[in-house]
Amino acid sequence: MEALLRRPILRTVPVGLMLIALQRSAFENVHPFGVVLQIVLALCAAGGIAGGPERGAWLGFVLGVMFDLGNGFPLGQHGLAYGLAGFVAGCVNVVAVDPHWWLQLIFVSVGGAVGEFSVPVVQTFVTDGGWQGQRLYRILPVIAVTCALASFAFTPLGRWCLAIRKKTWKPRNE
Amino acid sequence: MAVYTVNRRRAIILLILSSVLLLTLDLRGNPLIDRTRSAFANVLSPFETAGRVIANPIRDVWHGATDYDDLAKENERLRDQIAQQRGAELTARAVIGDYQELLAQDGLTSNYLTVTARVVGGAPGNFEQTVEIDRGAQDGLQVGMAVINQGGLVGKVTKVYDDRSVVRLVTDTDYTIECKVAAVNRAPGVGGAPAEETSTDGAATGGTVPGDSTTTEATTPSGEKVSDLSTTTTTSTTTTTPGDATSTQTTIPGQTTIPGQTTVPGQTTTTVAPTTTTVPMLVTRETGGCTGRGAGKLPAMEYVTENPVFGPIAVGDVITTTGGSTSLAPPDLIIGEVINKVSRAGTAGPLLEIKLGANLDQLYFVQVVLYRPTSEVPG
Repeated sequence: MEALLRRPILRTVPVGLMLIALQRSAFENVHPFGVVLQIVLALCAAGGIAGGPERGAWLGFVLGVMFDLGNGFPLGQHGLAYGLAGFVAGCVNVVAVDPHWWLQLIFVSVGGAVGEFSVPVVQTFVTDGGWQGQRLYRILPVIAVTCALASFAFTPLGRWCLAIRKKTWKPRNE
Repeated sequence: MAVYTVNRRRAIILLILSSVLLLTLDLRGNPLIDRTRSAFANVLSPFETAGRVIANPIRDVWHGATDYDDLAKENERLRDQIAQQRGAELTARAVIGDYQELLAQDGLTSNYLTVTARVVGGAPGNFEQTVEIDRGAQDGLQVGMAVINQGGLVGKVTKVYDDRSVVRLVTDTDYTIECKVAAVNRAPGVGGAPAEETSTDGAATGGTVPGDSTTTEATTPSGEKVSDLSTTTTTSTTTTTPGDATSTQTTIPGQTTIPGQTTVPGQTTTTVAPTTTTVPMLVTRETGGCTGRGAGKLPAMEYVTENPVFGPIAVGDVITTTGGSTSLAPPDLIIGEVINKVSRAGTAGPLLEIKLGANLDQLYFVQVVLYRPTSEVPG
């Protein structure tokens, strides 16, 4: 039973439901600089920090597909974008074994920005509207900063969703 | 640690392939995905309700603290605006009455059943222009129905769940609707060119007769006076009574004597106040396609071939839906007015930027027109 409860999918789905509900209620009218804050995307990027690129991509994909389902977007649109966000953010674990907090912030910001940038790119292919990213110069910095700020809370949450224990370094002689 | 490994490459390829597969299935219209989406919406609903219960008081406090000054200023501005629009509204009401009467006489009608809905949510992303309303399939809503409010066209229903729906706004880049420019015909000598004021004897007076002219300065959106756009017919009745010894003449103040009329001494002349009938001369100038251009940009009307016969399209001309079997909405719903005309080279024709009649930034209640265009019926 305990092993079942530790399965990432069973942890990710309820957390995703709550975050999507919060996104659609609390953050619906909060538009700093005219930008809709993306807390689900922030969790995807933070999950990448916690679990590395592969697990980050998995978490982003699952949460993105849920986001598509909940908001009526073409299925897979945000799955791909958020998966990329998790993957890119998770690359911090590739460049450093135990990355500094500021390095994590940089990667989570870049991951969030890549994820948000991917949304209009994918939309260009799947909708009739053409390129919709004219406001990206304003959106991306705001999303990057909010992802970085949210990562302080979301990195432990992402770690819990992915059922990863925090790295603890022990001396060899213990 | 290697940056590129087999696992890592496999992860990214799997991610892309899975997403493309899902997108392909969904865009081709898979009923399983539609059912899954509907079920997910039902599962999400209680979470969302809980989220609103928690978030609303906090959000209200925040807005109350930060937006109070802006709201007070806006309130004052809106009161001024209401006062200014009161006169225009009265004129418009009269015109609409005439219009409905004409439609009824022609056996046409523009009355469609509507369902009033409350806007309960905005766009969850930065690249979509949508709102969510609290009515769904249970209330008879279907995909494709037009959504309006008192200002004009708002958008169309794109997703319908049991008790809620998603409305794509006119400003969304995926939204296009056939529309027409309706304006006053300014070209002289064509159809409904503004007629001159005529008197009963058929002679043009060439000026305003004191006492029977319209005193309100009501104007159309294009800024022209309504009185300039109308055919004014003046009728006067003269009753002559044979007199005896004295010669008296009674004239209602403000009434002028029609040139050429001779008053015979010894007669009493009674003049009845003239009646004025105003008939608006709005005509359809051009048709085209109204397309949303995303957040922060005005929608635009394209594919307009400006015909010099009808005179130039001007700022302030009204844009309405054309209707018809392929249109997304019933005819003659107000979309907005021309606010800017961009000339383009070649055969592209001018691009008309539209100031929407509906204020999409402050949508609280909307009406869904229970009219489903044939183009939206599957199969």
